[in-house]
Amino acid sequence: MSASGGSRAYPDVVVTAPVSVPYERYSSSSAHGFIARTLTGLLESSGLKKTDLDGLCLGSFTLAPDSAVAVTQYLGLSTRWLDFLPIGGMSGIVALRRALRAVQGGDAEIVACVGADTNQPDSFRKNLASFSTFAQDAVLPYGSGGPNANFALLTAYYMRTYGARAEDFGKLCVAQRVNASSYPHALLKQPLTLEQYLSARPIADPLRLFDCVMPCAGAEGFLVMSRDRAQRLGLPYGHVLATSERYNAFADDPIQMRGGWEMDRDRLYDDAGIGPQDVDLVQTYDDYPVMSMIQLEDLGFCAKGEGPELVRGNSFTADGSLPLNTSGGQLSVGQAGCAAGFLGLVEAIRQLTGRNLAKPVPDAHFALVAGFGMITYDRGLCAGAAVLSREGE
Amino acid sequence: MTRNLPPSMRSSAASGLTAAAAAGRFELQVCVSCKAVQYPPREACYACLATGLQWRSQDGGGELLAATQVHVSQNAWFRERTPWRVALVRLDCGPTVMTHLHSDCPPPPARVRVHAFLDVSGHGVLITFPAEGPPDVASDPKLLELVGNTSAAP
Repeated sequence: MSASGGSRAYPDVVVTAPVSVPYERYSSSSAHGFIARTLTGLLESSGLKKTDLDGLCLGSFTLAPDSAVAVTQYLGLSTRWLDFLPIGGMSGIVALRRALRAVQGGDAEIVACVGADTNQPDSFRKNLASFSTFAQDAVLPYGSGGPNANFALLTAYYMRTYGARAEDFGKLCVAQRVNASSYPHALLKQPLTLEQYLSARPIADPLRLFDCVMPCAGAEGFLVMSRDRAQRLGLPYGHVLATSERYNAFADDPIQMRGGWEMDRDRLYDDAGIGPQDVDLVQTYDDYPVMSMIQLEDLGFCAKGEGPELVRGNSFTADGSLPLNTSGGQLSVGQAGCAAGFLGLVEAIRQLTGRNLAKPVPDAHFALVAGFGMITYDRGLCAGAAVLSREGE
Repeated sequence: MTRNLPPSMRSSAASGLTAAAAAGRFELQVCVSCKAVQYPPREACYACLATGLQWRSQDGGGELLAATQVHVSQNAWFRERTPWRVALVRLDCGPTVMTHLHSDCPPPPARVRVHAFLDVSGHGVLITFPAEGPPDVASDPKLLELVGNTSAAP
């Protein structure tokens, strides 16, 4: 934040036009259809024409055999800048970083950032089988539990090492369900009690049903453009104060109890000019509740291992303390492939630009968004973050 | 009707694990240049990028970091046998390995020993046993099914 408002890292470039395409448990539509619906939403909310889009940054797992370049012809786009980011929970943060620099450097004027995936009845199993060489060779032959088994092991280790209880993870799931109750696109909106969480069927011990996201179809998007352009269009916008991106951090750790955020957080907050105490809302990548705890630790909301105490001392609801995943997060909204990597970012932009769909966080000035994911073997390889502020901060 | 089997897709780099398991040995790739032990199998060293990796016998000693029972499996063979025990073990030689877990193993943290067997799909797999004594597959009925009923310890 600077004295005159805006961002030191990305001056004069802003994020705007947050769009969420309604999620579906299963869809017969292809990813292309979800991309089209997202672009339509971006154009409607910005007043731009399709020909105004000269950059496209696309995250998707289910486009095969296509990639972003095929989408330009499929949807009749003629951009002068293109990026394809099939990196799941990290795709939103990376799309943001790439798009900001593209506009800053003059390679594009208006970049549409889109995360979109379909979910056909057999998509999840097929994606699992072809996800990575390491998963094929060294994970799936051992019970074929998929990511649930990986995160069961991490969760079990975390509980044993730091004293977390099932109730702590349950509290996060229940709080996010409260947040989801006001968000129209959440697939899971019915109230969840701690008793229901604890008595749900086991998936991979100690994980139960509500620790696991529901795979689904859906899409998210936003636009990156100059502040001048956003002002001329009359669009409410947010600033990006700082970002970080890290892969395969702490590779010598025997098991993942931290991610690259720990490596980059000092520079992140230094660039942003604020600290975790100044953040009004947090969007973690909540593919499993243990990962929210680890992200809150690594991003400085408490020390390593104090996640359970932090959870016991906060409500995480939009109108409570430490608002977290204010649209319900993946745990309630659903995990729509790469769109899940955009979910928190798009929700943060909505909260900071007054375009709320879910209950607003009162007087929200600063948001922290984390990206995570790509468990190719035993741990998530990606760790990213972005600090955003509302207009003029 | 074809018989259900555990997943049988493997990369070419993984074939050495199967070849060693067929001979009753637990081998991992070791870098010729820097001696780093690799897992999962790969075609180049994660430490120095050399492409000369050789399969070498390992004693399998390590620490049981975490254990789970998988109740929901994406594979039909395992689905008929859930819950299925899986472990994460930090080997003394370096890598962390995901393995099948013998029911006699103590809860983590514990010293354990990892061995390689052929499963019924014909591929090498890692199984974690108690640290002491020979690897007794027969005392865990599910593991006995995994390696085929007639299989003896290596």
